Amino acid sequence: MDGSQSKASDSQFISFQDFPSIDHEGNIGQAQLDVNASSHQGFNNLSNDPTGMGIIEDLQGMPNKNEAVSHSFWTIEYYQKFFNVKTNDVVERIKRSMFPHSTDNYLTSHIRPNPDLYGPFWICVTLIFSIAISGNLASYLQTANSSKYHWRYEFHIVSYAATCIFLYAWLLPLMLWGALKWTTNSRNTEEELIESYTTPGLLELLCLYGYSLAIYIPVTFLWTIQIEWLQWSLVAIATFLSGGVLLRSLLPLISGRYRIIYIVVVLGMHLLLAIGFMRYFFHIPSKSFPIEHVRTTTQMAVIKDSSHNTSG
Amino acid sequence: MSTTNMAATDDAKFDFKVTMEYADPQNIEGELTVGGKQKSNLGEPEFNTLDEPIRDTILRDVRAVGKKFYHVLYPKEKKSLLKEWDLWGPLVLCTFMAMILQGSSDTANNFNDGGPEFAEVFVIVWIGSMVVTLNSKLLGGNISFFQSICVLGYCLLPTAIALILCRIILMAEQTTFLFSLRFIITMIGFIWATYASMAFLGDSQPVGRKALAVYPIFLFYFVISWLVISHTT
Repeated sequence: MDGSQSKASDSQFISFQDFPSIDHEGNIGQAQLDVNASSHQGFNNLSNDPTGMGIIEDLQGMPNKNEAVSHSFWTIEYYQKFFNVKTNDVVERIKRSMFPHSTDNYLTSHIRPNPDLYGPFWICVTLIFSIAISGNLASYLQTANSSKYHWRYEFHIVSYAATCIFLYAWLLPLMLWGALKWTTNSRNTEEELIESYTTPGLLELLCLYGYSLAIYIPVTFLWTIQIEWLQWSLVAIATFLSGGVLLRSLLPLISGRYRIIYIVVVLGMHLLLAIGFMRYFFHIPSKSFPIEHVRTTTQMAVIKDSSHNTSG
Repeated sequence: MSTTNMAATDDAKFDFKVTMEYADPQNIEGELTVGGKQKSNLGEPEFNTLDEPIRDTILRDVRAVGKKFYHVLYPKEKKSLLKEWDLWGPLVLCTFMAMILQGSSDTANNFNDGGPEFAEVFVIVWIGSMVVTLNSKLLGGNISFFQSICVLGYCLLPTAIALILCRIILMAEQTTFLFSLRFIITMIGFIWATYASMAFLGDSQPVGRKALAVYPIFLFYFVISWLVISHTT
């Protein structure tokens, strides 16, 4: 699909490249006429210029229509295609990532036509700061009654949360994408023909995982309520809803004997993330400093992350 | 600032030279083009920095910064902050806020304030405003990079004022009433800052994406206001 498109654009581009040389020759002719008879100049200008301008406009217009070739890697325009979304799209995607729909596949019907990076990036940033803010609120609520412990806010939760979340939302899709690519290479070609789904691209996976974190933003504020069964049930509900969407959209694309491993990894990591958030940012044990605990958990999460992915 | 002034004086010199040559009928064409260029530069201030006291030069720049601060506090003219950007105001505000907000880490007693370091506040303000600007550029907004950073930096003024007020309140013995007073002051500063920056930057976005560009601005000031309200002695 992609190859044929680029070929088509190439041929168009080449066919248009022929015109400026003709235009140039015309200009030379005009210059010669200039010397001979100045009265014809105006007429020549009229006949030459509109076509010339039209060609130039076409030349400038063509690469914009199929933009794959036009912008270099270092320009802002190159990245604008990852941010090509409207407000309604983002709201719709966030809604869909929270509540599983029975009929259509979230990944193929909503994300695949136009995967964006706006949502994943800003959802990650929002989640980092909502964890930092409500985590501080939770620790304040825990110590508000005891008079001996003077509460101070802990800014450095931001760093730990940022490490955790960006590792989960950017590294895991990368690994999943690599693993999927590796396993589908050994698959039968017949199977591939029968199946309507192809393996997801890296951008789609990044987008899917980024949006799947959106549900935790309201949940972090609910976690500040210091009731243990409520916190655990929120973990279960959030994981069930967003992990369900994640799994439902990924399942049709995964097949073969590794399928069960993928399911376990995807769902397990999602659950681990939710439990990690709840345990170490909102359920701080009163006896010691929270910093040490948080640090060890992030390290553990990283280790578990890598070990899970190497197994899958 | 001073380079533009130099350019203006250069133009003035040209003008003078050309008027000397004005009597020569052969050079009329040249006079016309230079005159046209001069007219396009009419927006430039008409003063000469070469023979004025250095106090005037500095005072003029300070006055320009002060005028921008006034526009932030009273965001009526939409284009007033976008005309000429400078980063003096953001630098002053950011340094001031970072100095007050930084936590004292007393290593001798193994006692950590929990507040951010000076550099962390600095990074949050500058990298934050850069990311917000980059986001609006990527969404297709038609505003230059430094203009947007200038506006975002100047609009920190309400939160900086809120920080000063909170610092004064913190000197007294803390009660619930004083905390709610600090909370209200910080909220007013946050809303003011967001409103002002939206008044300046809101028009630069395409219609369907306004909320997408405004949300990061909202988040930026929200995080800084969180730092302000969380700051304790």
